[in-house]
Amino acid sequence: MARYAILTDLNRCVGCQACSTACKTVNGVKPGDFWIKTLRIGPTPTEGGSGDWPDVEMYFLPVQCQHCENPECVKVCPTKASHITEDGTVQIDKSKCIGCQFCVMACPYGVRYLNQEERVVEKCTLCQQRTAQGELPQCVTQCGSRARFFGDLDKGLESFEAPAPTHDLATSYEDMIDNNRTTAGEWLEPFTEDDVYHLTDAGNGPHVCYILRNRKWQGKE
Amino acid sequence: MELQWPLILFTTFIAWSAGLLATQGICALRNESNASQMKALFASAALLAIGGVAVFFHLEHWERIFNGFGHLSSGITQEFIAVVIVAIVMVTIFAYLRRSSNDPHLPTWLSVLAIIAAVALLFSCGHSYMMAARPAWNSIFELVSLFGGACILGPASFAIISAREEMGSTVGTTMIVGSVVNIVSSAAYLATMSMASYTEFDATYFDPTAPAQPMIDVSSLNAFSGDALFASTLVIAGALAACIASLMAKKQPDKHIVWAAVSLVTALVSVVALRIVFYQLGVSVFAFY
Repeated sequence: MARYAILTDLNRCVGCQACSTACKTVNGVKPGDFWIKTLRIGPTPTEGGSGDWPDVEMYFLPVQCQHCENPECVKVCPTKASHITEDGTVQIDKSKCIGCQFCVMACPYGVRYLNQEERVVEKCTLCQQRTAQGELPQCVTQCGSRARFFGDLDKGLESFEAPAPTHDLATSYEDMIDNNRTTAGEWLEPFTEDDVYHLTDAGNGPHVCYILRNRKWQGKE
Repeated sequence: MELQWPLILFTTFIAWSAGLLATQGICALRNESNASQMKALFASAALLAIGGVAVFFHLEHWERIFNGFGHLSSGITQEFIAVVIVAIVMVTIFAYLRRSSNDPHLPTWLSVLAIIAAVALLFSCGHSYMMAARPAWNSIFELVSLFGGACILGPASFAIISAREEMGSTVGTTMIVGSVVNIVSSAAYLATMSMASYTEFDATYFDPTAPAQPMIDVSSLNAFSGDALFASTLVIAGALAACIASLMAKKQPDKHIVWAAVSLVTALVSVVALRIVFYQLGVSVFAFY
């Protein structure tokens, strides 16, 4: 069993929201709803600074379903519509969902919502329809600053993959997207375990990882 | 989060039904108001049914209800099991009362079972909302406050139902004690909710698509300010009024039905208002979306 997740290098993320819009387009997420939302954290005073500009820092934080190890949403679901799949992601079987929304209440990250049209709960699927075919999640494919990587936590963060940008105009779209990949180990600036953060763990074990170097992580570990 | 009226009504009616069933059990143990047992049983069953119907309005696809209830870690499944157990206890009580219709009384074991089933029902309903994701809900006082509501709604209802009889000392005492429990538990939970709500980010954070709007209104995280103030006032005022009315019912036995009715109505206001505050302050630790 794998443990698929997303790794985002927050030192590279420029908050362009390409991930949010790409996700909406490929997954048909309605206006006003989000499967991934990019937040601006800060600006906050830099430690040891004057407290005023320019001694301030900020970063962007893309937030989505964290595909947790022990997801609360799965525990509270009365019909087992929310479940953990073989690839370690948390998915919703819409045909089983009764729309009780207890998973929406139980999710610490608030990333679930009721689809008003279908009257069932929705959230990020980590583009299971794409990853099952060996493709990358759309938010990773279209990340504007090559900050997002997709992979299996059991194989290590360095092995997480993303399309490798190329300036060779002869490269076909298919090769650019699917056949020309780089890894977090190759592409990113060096990082240590101390640079890797998660959204606060309330016992649910979030899988999604964030790298932040030389700035203060404003969330509580 | 927005008010979930079907769930507000569900928990209120469940507390009411459980409180009445437990009061029946207490009176039966003291061998008081036996003639009112059957009427109280019907009332308690009706309240349980109303609560059950109310919760269906919360479900978006209730026709798929039989998809589930096999997942024991789910609070909804646990509530369902508790409701079924209470229904079985009610049917058993009905059978015993029918069998002894000339001298209606419940055996001790069944009276105790009624109280235990009522407490179990309250526990399951309260416990299913205790979620780490919502600090205001994740408190033992949430459960205790539901118990507090049951402590006054049940005895006050029983006092009205047994109006034709002289109000037994047990019902009167239970009303007073229950109303005090309701005041203490409601106030404790309001204070707990106000202290519990927080967000997991120290810094300010914004949705860049609406950068001028804060993602969370900090004043909304306190029961005694902002939108929650009105409902919190109703919680305290209602609970205090129910206590005063309960004392008056004991003091003026000839008007006990009027005071019991006042106690019931004001307690209902208090219980419903507390559930309103519950949703108003039930903010996720990550108020991101």
